[in-house]
Amino acid sequence: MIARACAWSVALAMVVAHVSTVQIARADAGVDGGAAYLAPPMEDRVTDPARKIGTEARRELGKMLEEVRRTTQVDVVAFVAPVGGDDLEKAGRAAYEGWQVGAGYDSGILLVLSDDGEASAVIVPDKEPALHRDEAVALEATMLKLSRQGQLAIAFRVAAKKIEEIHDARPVALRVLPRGTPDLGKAARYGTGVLFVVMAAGFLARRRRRLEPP
Amino acid sequence: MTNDNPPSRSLLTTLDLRLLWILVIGGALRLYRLSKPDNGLIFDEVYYVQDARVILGLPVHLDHLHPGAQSGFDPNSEHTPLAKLIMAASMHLLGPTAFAWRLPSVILGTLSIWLVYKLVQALGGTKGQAQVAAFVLAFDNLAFVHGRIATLDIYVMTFMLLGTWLHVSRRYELAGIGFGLATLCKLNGLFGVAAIVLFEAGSLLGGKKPAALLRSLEPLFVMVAVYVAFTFCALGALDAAWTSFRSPIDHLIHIVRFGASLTQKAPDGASSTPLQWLLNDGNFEYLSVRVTSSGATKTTVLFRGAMTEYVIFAAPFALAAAAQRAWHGSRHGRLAVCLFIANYLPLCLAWYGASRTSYIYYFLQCLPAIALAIALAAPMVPRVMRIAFVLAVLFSFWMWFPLRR
Repeated sequence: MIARACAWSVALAMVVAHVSTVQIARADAGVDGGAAYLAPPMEDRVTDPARKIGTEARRELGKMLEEVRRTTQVDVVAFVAPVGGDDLEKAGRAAYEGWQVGAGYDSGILLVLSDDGEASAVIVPDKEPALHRDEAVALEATMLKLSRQGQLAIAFRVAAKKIEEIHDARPVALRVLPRGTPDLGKAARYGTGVLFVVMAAGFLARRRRRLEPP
Repeated sequence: MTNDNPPSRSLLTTLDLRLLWILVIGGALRLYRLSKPDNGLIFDEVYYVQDARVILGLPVHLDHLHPGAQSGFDPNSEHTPLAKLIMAASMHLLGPTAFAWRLPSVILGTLSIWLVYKLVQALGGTKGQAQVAAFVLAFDNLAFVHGRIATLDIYVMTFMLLGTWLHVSRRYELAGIGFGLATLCKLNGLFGVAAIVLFEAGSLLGGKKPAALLRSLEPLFVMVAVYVAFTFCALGALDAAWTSFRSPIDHLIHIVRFGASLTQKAPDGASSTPLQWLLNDGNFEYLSVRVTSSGATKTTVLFRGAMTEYVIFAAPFALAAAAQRAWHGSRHGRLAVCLFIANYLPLCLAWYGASRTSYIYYFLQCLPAIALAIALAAPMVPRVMRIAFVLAVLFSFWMWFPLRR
């Protein structure tokens, strides 16, 4: 009996240990099986855990992004991610959702560069993006060109400027709202009432006129 | 050879040329550069033009719209829908332009001048008195500005005047419909009915016998019955077709609750108290355009929410004279006082009793009462003062004309 309990306990402990090990390993790798990425805490408008951008440049960039947000109502955030290659897009998307970029604004854009400067990504929401796909791709190429030269801060600044230009050139977004369904039957019933009241009022007014002394 | 035919009154002999001038000039000034400033919305047009666009199913910005707004429905549920539907109809016919959404206001603003003229005549006033009343409404700044921008207030004022004129002209049933139209534009149209109730109650003060009393009250009963039935049915029809309300009662409760929720402890920004309006205080800019050229700044457009000073400062004296005349049995005086009390007192009670937010343009509905009172008082003052008053009003009108070079 005791031996059986011990055996079950050992088995259970092994399962727990396995699950914990896998979790820790995935977190260390930064990417969870290609799906989940633990984004670092957001640092104002420029998140750069590896400190690839100097303090002054980061502060200036933050001010510029804040100004773009104010004028365009598009929440633009910069991120220097500690991953590269194909994982950059996934890391960017996880950060976009984790930091709730765009919440409270018309839209949001996350500009991502890998810390080695060899990859770039522009993350926009699927619904009502501030940039079309081709505009985002062009922006990624522009950023990549500069980041490969080690100019990460300038890459972000150029991208922010471009976003502002695209926004200004675009006509203000107008939307047609979903159509409401009127209750025409009810409207007709009330309308009949209106017709009746108007006719009765007209008839009574004429009758009164006729009966009045000249 | 003699002509046995009775002499017929030709149109020219019955036409009042001065009224015609006031109407033509008043209407033309309301139409002058109506669509200016280009693409600019003046004051509350940001709400009502947006509403008209939603009603027409046109693309809109999402500003000033609640999340559940639906195309084809009036999204502005805090007011009854008729005025916005008229704006939408004009935009449907003429295109979604500033000219189209402001044109109904011009028509109604000009119509109100004619109505106040007819009202004075129906009250037994002279042609001259009727001309004075028409002049005041044509050239007062607040009536003029609202007579050329797409807001609800000119609709209410004009339909209320229509109802009042019809009632005074003993077309009580049609008066009920006139007041109903005012209420379908904004709930404040109800104040017009309240004014007539006061007016008729005033005529009963003589101590009549019960049978005679009932007979005297018959016109009032008829008017109120038609008003209630028409407003209920018409609001029901408009709500079912253009709003998400399926009962007019629900809509009216919503309007009252929403209105009661707009409170503030002290006036700030554009808001003001009803007592301030009597001093023309609490006025504010509806829209201003300033152009800087060669280092100098010039105001090219200035729409201002304010009465003409000479009209508002004459109002207390004119109303006092009207009250004195009413005391001596003048229907003209009684109507001026009743219209003023019914339109002004509820706003005072709402502000001082429930801290309801108030704005100076709410006073627009009191202007016909002031025009009536000034018309009544006009013959009491020397001719030179009358001329001075007319010139002063015209001077103020010119000074505050919204579109400058």
